[in-house]
Amino acid sequence: MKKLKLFSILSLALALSFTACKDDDTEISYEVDPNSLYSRLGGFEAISAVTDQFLANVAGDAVINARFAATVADPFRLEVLRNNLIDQICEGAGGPCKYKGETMAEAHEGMDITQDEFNALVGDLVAALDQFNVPEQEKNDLLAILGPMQTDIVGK
Amino acid sequence: MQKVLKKTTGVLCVSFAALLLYANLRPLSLTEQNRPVHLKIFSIDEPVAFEQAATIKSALKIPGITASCVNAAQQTVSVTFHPGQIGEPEIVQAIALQGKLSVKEKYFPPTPVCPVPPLQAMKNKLLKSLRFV
Repeated sequence: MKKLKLFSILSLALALSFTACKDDDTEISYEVDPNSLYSRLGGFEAISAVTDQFLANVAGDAVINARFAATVADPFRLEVLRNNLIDQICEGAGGPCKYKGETMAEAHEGMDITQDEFNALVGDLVAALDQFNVPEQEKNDLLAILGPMQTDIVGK
Repeated sequence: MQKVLKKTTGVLCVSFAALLLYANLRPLSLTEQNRPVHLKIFSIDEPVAFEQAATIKSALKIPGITASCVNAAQQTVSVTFHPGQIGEPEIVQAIALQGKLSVKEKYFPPTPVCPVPPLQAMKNKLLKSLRFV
């Protein structure tokens, strides 16, 4: 009986210690500025829908789809990519998300991504935004947030 | 020796129980609460006309499919979908326009470096498998 008690206490303590090093995303504030880009884009559902279209466009893009073949083949890896993209757009637009993937420089190190490949990726994102009739202002605001990542992605 | 074995077993049991508690008690982020999707790429065996591509795109506007992209030049169709809501045979049927086209899943030889490290995916897989709800 004493052993069982000790086991329970130790388990709980360990679980709490895991929670103490929890991902930053768990501390979510759902209060969002109604004038933020996040709100103007249509919130989480809209960003999620655009991201799915973006992924479908990338998968259909012969210039870059081979880069994502291993990710597409594994549903759990695809989920990581999708969630990272949603978090990145959502957080950058002022939404209640927290990007928890590697930095762009870390994620693309050794990939030797060309300018043409980066341009193709941006083109796929623009096509996804166009399909959802995202207004020009919001589209430019979003691209202005994501654009500076180019230096960390191309030629690394 | 027996004492060491007993202690190691104890530590492993406690660690597993803690991991189980953590997997079930930690709050999920917005993206983790989002329903997962699968992504498949299909190829069409014959040339696809522009109008036909538009018809395929319309045919894929069915529940369970979250996005699609028809590349007429490459004769490919990429689809993201909720696997619990729609199956691949139904998607293939929709792309084939009721048997008018011959469709099969397309595989790409993966490049050696991929932007998504498998470690994060493995961690998510483990935590998900330990979650009861």
